[in-house]
Amino acid sequence: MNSVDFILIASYLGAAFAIGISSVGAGIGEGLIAANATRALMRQPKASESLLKTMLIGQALTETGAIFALVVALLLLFGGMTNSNGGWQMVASLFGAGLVIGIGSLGPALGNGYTGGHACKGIGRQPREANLLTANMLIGQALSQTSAIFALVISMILLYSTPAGDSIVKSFALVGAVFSMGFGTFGPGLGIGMVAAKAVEAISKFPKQSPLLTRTMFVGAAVAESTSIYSLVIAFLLIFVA
Amino acid sequence: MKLKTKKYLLIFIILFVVELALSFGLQYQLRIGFDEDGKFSIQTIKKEKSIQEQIREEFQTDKIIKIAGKLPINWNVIRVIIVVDIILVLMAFLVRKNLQLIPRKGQSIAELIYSFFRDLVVETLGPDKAYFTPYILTIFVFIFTCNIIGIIPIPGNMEPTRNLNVTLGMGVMVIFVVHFFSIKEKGFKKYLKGYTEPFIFMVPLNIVGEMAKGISISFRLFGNILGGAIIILVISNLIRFIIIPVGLNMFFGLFIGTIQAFVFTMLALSYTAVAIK
Repeated sequence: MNSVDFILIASYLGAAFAIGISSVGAGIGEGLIAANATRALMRQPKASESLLKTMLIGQALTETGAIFALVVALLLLFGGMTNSNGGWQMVASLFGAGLVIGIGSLGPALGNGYTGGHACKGIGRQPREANLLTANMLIGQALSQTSAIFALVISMILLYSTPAGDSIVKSFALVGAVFSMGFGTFGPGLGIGMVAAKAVEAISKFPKQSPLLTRTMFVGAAVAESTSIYSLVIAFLLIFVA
Repeated sequence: MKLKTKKYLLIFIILFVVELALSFGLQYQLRIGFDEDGKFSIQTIKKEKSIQEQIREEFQTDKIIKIAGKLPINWNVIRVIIVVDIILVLMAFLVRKNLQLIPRKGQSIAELIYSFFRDLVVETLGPDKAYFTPYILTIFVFIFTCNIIGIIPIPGNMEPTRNLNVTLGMGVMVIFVVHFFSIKEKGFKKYLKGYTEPFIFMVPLNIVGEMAKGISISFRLFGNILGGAIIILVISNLIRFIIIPVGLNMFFGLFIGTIQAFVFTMLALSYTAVAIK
């Protein structure tokens, strides 16, 4: 076996890891939203229309990370990178591209589910403010997805613009970038999801204070996100400088 | 079985058969002309195009032309953007042609959309900043039209937002507007002081954070739209273009396209709100 065989093995394993790990987060998150929507429906049967709408939108956004992972997996399987001979660095980067989006979309999906669940709960409490709550849920989920998008950026870079070569040290640096970005997204994704969930809950209790609450949510999310930005910087350094 | 159900079932079966026939036709090309022996003939040639090549086409690297010999420009994207612009301008003219006090169909829809976004802007930025409404509404309408234009099945018609250059351009514009109004509202000194919060050591990270805003807002749109396109392409190839791609087009084009356009707009609005207050 030479490195060409290992490129095939790496891309197949990478595709499997990408979709396998990311499905865990997306499944739990979407289930959380549906569970909370069902409970809210028990409290407010008249609000069923707006609850269904919010639930579907929230689930669609929660799935974003899994859709990114599905795309990376399809690119690994059918994208044509497997024909090229890029040496051992290609092996590392193809395996890493799948792994980073798999681990990277785990935390944000859980956070998104938490936010969407609280939004459904809030609509059960205040059916009149459904539009305001849905808009705030969208912003919160988009904020917590930011780190999954960093993982997608790293994954695309690993797929398409890693330098070819046979250096074992560089290969391990690429794998290191994967771990840095993959685990770096978990905490911020979940944490920003919690921030957004509590913000949505607070808005459902005090709808008049919503501009202030949204701004506070933004500042808190930006601070919680800084650790994933550290990870992104380290991953870039490992890919391009090390 | 009711008569209506039977009718729908019949339509579905006819669609299925037609699509099955078309799906076999799509793999072959009809060629009419003279073959190697000099005889006139009609033959079918199998298309030699693997999924790999089709996915590479999705990234639109082969349609690049160079203006004045230097500046590379993707002609396909420019073409679709021009179509989108023409559609939007035509709609604006049609609505504005006869404005009335008691609105007709088109005018009432336009007024509904405008007042929804004006309420959103006033709620987020305050009543004295209502002049942001045209900017926010333009972003939404442009991205929305770009996202849903891909569901029209014409060869060469793809969403401009599938290209990273388009979404990155929109992201840079949003970030530029945010910083411009931040300086205008706060003054240059207070704007610079914002970078040293909470400590002076945080300056480089704050700058990276500002750039990350632009990256995340543009990659979110790009990833979702390109992802939908690639998923539709691969699944269509696997199941030979029968029924399911239509549903996938509805999901990714209409549903995800609308949600992502709204998310982009809301994020642009919220970034502005955080910067100027």
